[in-house]
Amino acid sequence: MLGDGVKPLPLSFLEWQVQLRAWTMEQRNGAPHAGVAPLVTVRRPGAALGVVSHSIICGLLPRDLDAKTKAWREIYESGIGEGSRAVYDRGIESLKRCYRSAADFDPSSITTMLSADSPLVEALRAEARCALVFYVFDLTDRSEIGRFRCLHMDCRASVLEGGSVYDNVHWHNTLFHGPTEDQVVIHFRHLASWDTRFGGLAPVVD
Amino acid sequence: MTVPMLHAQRVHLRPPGSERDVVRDVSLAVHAGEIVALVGPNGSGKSTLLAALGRALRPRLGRIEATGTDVWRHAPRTFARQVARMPQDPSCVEGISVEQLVASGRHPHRRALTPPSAADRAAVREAIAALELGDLRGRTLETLSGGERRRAWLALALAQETPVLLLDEPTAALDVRHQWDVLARLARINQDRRVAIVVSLHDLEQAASLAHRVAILHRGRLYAAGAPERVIDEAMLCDVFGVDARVAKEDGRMRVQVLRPADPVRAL
Repeated sequence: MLGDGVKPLPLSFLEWQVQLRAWTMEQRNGAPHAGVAPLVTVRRPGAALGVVSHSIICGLLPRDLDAKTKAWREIYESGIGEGSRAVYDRGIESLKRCYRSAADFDPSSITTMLSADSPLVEALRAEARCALVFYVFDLTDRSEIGRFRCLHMDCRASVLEGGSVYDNVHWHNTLFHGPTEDQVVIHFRHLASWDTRFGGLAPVVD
Repeated sequence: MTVPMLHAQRVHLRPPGSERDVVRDVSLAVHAGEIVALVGPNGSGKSTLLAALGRALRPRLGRIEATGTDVWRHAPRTFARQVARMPQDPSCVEGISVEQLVASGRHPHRRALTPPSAADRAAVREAIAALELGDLRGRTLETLSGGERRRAWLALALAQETPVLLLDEPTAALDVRHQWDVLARLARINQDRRVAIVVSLHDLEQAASLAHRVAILHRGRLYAAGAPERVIDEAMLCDVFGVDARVAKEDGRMRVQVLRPADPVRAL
């Protein structure tokens, strides 16, 4: 799936994301941690200066995409008659089994779901090059909120309105938030990562 | 398996003027003789769902069946002999008396331009008696208190003599005694006539004491449905109402004690 300058995410980052998600499933009943909520920054469309910047809750893309999509859809459709709580609980159980190894996820992808008419989507449609900034990122920090250490990630974004990646993110999101209207999936492909730990933008090398 | 009296099947509802669905993918079956309480915060979709169950709002997606047939395929008069609905803020023309209002509940049973039958008169008499409106029967609605008006509208729904009653906050604007009075009457109607009742309520303890099942709506979705002791718990109160609370049973009754606003990280 790599190409056009797309590079694998730093393995340490991907492993940390998987650990963090496993931890939130076990300890926080799936409530997202700040570590999965980067800031997306992209040039403001039509303006010489300025950016659009917005925080998102991001996801990872499983390698067995279609199988996971099918499983999540089945959990939703078989459980929704009992209510969203039952679906949510089964979704959490499914995701506890999902977040075990970084090798189970696409090495270059990060995803999110946004309102189709949001300013961020408008900006990403105009300019695919963007940056994801993870403010909480430190594998050595075991505290609940993590230590502030900024990881700046250059990405190229695609706005998806259908297809297998869209379906996967859609059904994952539906498990926890129900059906949504007028949403698009943003598929970020990783280009390069920079670590600000030393007061500058140091390339991240695993 | 018996056919439900009413069955909402994965309905999405968007009231006129709304840009978004206010009810999303909700399924709910109501069987003969059961009381289902709809509970949830303001704006969670209770009234919209009741309106759709009462054929006052067409689903954008999904369908609603009454005894196995799409409600929109029933003739209005046939449907009105099956299902009576009391909206949250009912209105009528000025100058109408309590007795006239209650008698209008017999329209689905009467032929045009025929006088009321003995059965019609008996149904009106019984409904007025059941809601203790005898002394008020000649009074016009605008001269009544809010609680009295509510009882008059409830009497109209009873006079309709349907196997299903849909009641949107029937205890709103009533004092404590009249709230319990209305709930006791609903329980009796349910027991005596096996009328299925779907009722929206804000008071969880009232819902638990009255209903066989409680359906909890949260942001337009069905959060959970089931026996009160199964679905009304501390996790639900945190997720849906955003409060930390204690749920306990005292003398066979459910007691809900709200302690404080919930930690927003824990509330979904």
